Amino acid sequence: MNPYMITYESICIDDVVQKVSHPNHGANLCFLGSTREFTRGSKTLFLEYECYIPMAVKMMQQIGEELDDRWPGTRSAITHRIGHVRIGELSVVIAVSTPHRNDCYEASRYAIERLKRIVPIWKKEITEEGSEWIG
Amino acid sequence: MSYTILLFAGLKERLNCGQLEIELHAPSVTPEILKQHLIERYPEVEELISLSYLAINQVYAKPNALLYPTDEIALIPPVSGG
Repeated sequence: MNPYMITYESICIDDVVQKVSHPNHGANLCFLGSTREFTRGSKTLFLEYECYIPMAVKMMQQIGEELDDRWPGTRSAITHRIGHVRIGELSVVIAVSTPHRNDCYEASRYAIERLKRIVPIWKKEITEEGSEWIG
Repeated sequence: MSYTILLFAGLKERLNCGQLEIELHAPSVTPEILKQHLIERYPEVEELISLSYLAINQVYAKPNALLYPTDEIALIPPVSGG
């Protein structure tokens, strides 16, 4: 299974976490991104994600390489959901494992920050007032 | 030469199409020059084009890169995944 995936289905956390399990890695972290009902005081009804899929997969692979450059041996897996996502559902799951916890916390934070900067995925918030592409 | 540019999200919605065809009298073009041509033709989305990056063959284009008509070219507005 490819560690970096885009899906229209709901994300199974265990599937992502299992991809990074390693007998020499004592630290495993999983970041769960979920859709928020209230943003800047406005009530969101649901979200719609769009993606440039082949480039998004390449950019997530690149993030995996950057993690390995900075914290050698880090294993990572990312699944991002696209399409229609209801409030409170998972939009992204990032699993990271390293031999020790310090690197793991840093790598986990790095991965989500990079994803939000370089992976070509866009969200549209549909509110009671209308809809808007965020970016 | 005809260049095809893939569009996404806000750009796709505001221009009401998934890709643009643009004719240029040049065998290749830099990202900045291509963006200028696009802004001239679609001034209604000038701000969004200015904020966007170009990707060549699914990788962000460096400022000095050359884009060819045979490349897969995409205009990437500010991303908002996560």
